[in-house]
Amino acid sequence: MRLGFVGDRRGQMRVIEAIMAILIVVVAVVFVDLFAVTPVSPRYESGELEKVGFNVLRDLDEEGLLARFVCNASSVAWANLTSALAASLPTDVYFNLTVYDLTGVVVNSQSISYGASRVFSDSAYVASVTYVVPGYSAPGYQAVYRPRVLVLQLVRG
Amino acid sequence: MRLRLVRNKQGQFIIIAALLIAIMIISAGAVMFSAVTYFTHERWEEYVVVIDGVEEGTARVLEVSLANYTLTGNSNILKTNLDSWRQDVKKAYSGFGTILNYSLATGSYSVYGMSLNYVLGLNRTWNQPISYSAANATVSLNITSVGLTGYRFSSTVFLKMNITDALWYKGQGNNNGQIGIRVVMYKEGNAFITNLQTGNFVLFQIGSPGVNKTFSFYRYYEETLSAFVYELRYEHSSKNKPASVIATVGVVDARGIKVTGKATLIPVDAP
Repeated sequence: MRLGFVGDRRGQMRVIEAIMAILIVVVAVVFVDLFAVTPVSPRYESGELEKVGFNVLRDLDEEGLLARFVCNASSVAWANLTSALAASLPTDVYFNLTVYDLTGVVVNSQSISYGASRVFSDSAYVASVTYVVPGYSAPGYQAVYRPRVLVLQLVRG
Repeated sequence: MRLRLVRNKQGQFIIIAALLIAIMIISAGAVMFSAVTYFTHERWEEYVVVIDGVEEGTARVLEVSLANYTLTGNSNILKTNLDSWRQDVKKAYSGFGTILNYSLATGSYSVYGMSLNYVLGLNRTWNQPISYSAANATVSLNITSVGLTGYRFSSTVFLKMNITDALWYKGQGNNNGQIGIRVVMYKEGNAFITNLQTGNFVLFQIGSPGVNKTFSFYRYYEETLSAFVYELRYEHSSKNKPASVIATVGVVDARGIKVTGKATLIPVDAP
C-alpha cells in the first residue's frame, strides 16, 4: 500500500516536471520570437525603397530626362519630372523630391511630390536617396557643369 | 527513502536539461538577431547607393566634358570639371567621408578594338571615314566612414561614326540622280545608336565645306552591312553617276557629343 502511494506521487511529479520543462522551452522560444526580424518586417522596407528610388533616378538619368528636367528648372520641367517619377515608381509608393544646388538652396520652385505631406511625417520608415546630376548636355545646348543634388524621400502607402 | 531521492534527482535532471535547451535557443536567437540586424546598423544599402551614384555621376561629367570639348575645342575642360566634381562629391555626400581621386587617360589606349590616342583624357579623331570622339578617366573612391579605400573604376564615353558607302539613284525622266551617303553610328561597347533624327545630322556641300546640304533622311537595318544605317540622300547636280563623291557628315548625338567624318566614296547603284 505504501509502495503504491509512493509510486503515484512519483508519477505526479513526472507530470509536473514535464509541464515545467515544456514551459521553460516555450518561454525561451517566445522570448526569441519577440526580437526576431523577419524578411517582411518594415525594418527592411526603407532599404528596399532606397534601391527602388535610386534605380528610378538612374534610369531617368541614363535616358537623359533627369538632367533635362533639373537643369531647365521651369514649372513645366518640374511637372514633367513629377509625372515621370509617378509613372516609374510603384503606385503604392509616395514620393517627395527636393532639388538643391551645392550651397543647399532649394532649386525647385514647385513641389515635386505624390501623396500628402502627412504621409511622410506619420510614417516610421522613410527611405531617402541622394542623387547628384553633374550637368546637362544635349544638341543645341552649351554643355555645362552645374551640379544639382536630388534628395528623394519615399514611403510605402 | 533513498529510492525516492534517486527518483527526484532524475526529475531535477529533466528540468536542468530543459534549462540548457532554453539557454541554447536564446543564445542561437541572439546570434541570429545580431546577424539579421547587422546591415541595418551599418547602412550597407546607403553605401552601395553612394558608390553607384558616384560612378553614374562621373560618367555624366565625362559626357558633359566631351560634349563641351567637341563643340568648343577646350582640351582642359575634363580636368577642370573632374577637379570640381572631386570637391562637389564631398559636399553632396557629406557625412560619408567620400574622397575621390582620378587620373586622365594619356597616350595610346585600346578602346573597343581600336587604338585611341588621348590627351588629358580626351580624343577627337575627325574627318576620317571612321571618326571618333572619346573621353576616358580612371577614378579611385574612398569612403572613410566605413573604411572603404581604393575602390577603382574606369569611365569611358565614346561616339564613333563610320561612313560606309554611297548609293546612286538614277533620276526619272529629266530629273537629276540622287546620292545616298550611308552612315553607321556607335556608342560605348560598339553598340549601334538607333535614336538619331534628321536634326542630329549635318551634310556639308560636296566640295564646299561650311555650306549645309539639304537631304532626305532614312534609317533602317542593312542586312549586307549587318548594321543599323542612317542614309542621307541628296540630289546630284546631273543625271550622270559621278566617279566619286566626297562626303562630310557631322553628327551631334542625344548627349550633345559631336563627331565629324569625311570620306571619298565611289557610288554604287542602289538595289
